[in-house]
Amino acid sequence: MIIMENLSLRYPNANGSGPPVLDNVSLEIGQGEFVCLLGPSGCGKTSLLNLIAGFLRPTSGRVLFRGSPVTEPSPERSVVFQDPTLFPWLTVRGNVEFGLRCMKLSREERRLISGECIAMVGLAGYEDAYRHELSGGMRQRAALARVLALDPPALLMDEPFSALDANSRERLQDELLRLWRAKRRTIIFVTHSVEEAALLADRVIIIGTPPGSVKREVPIDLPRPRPRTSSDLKETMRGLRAVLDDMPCCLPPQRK
Amino acid sequence: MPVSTHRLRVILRSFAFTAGTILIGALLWQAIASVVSAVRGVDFPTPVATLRHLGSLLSGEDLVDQSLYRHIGDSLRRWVNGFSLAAASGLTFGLTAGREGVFRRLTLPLVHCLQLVPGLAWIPVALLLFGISEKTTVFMIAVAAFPPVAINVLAGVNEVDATYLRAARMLGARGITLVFRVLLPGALPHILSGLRVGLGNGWRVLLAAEMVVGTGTGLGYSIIQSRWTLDYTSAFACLLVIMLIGLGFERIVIATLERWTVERWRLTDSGGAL
Repeated sequence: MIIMENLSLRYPNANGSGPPVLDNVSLEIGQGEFVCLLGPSGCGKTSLLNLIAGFLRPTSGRVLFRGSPVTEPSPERSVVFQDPTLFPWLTVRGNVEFGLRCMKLSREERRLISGECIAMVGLAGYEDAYRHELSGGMRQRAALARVLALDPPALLMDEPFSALDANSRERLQDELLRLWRAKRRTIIFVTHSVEEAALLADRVIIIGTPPGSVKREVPIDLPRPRPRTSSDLKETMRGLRAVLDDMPCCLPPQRK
Repeated sequence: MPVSTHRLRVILRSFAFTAGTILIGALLWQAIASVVSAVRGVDFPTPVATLRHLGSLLSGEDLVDQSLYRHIGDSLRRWVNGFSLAAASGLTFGLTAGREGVFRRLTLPLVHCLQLVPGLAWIPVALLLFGISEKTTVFMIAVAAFPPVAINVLAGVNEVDATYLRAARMLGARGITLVFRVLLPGALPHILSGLRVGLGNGWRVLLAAEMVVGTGTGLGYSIIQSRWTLDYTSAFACLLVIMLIGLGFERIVIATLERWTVERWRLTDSGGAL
């Protein structure tokens, strides 16, 4: 479904090109797979996601999506950002229908789809609310509805729940899993939380530093649903943590 | 729905402040009129005399061979024409320059140059271009209102959060959709402040242009004609009308636009250079 071939990335700086952010990353992600990119902050996992999204172009190597190279952003690879980035001048419904309008769907079709997606993320009743009338968790739910409306084959999520309070985060994790089990879309989920990775992923890809490269791939075979308190989950988290502990933390920020 | 006492109090207070402002203005005016009359021995129109005269002008008395309404109407028409031209071209420029770096670097200095020229200084250019005609005043208004609109729109476009653009492109927006559905609303705080400045510039230049170009009608023309005939009270009445119209546009039109958009969406920074 998504193939990364020898991806390297350097941001240009005053001397022409800066230090490498990603070095020779090769990965293959299958249809319907839930993959977490895990690593310390600054390791380049968000850059990797931005390459898959088409926001950035690699310095060398390429990303293939369903066999064709990624050159620009597309609704087929929808992104949920860390910051929900809802358009403040649109209501929740307006935001959810934004992509549908770009697809030139009729008003009735848009209403139908947006209504479904808004209900799916638990925001029914808030269709006409503006961004400033929503809590952080509600905004992220709306951002999720906005991409679900496009029914994307691949969903790219960049630490989407990291700015939320613990309760909202756990609720949204559960709901994301429920949606994923129902629809079986490919999900690539960036996180720095070991628990989140262990709970969500079929496979955790640990990005090492610096520059970012695939340090370890850890398949997670735990049966689903995975209770947060189960000892198997704790054991998995211990294993992931051991890999992370071998790496430096608190890296200096790279430009995003 | 009954008006709550709190809301009523807010309204009353704002009325009281407006009344206070008017009172201060009128007292200052009256003081100046008294002093000037006493010291220089000339008849300086007082607020009461001006208002009374304005009343009779409003009830149909001729002013420089025309009704006051005709003068107001002609001035407003020129203003609206000139300003629409400036707003349309300023928006087009700002949106284009915000997306095309080469175009921006080539043309922005020219806009800055335009901005440095005081409105009235365009008179020789306007006369050469259009002679003595309606187009002359409209041109002068447009050329005075264009730079603040253009520069503010550009600043607004440049400040639209890049993540909105990313999100929009990821949702499938391209080209013109991106401009109208993301850049334009995102830049709106700046755009509105640009329009506000442009509107004011245009209004001021309009009156000056009418005085100099000799358009035959209009508030500016009336002021200068009243001055020749020593009808200073009429001139003062026109000044009052000018202020009220300018204030009305600013307070009602622009403020309403702001309430509908920027305030409703909480686009927090009110924006605006200049």
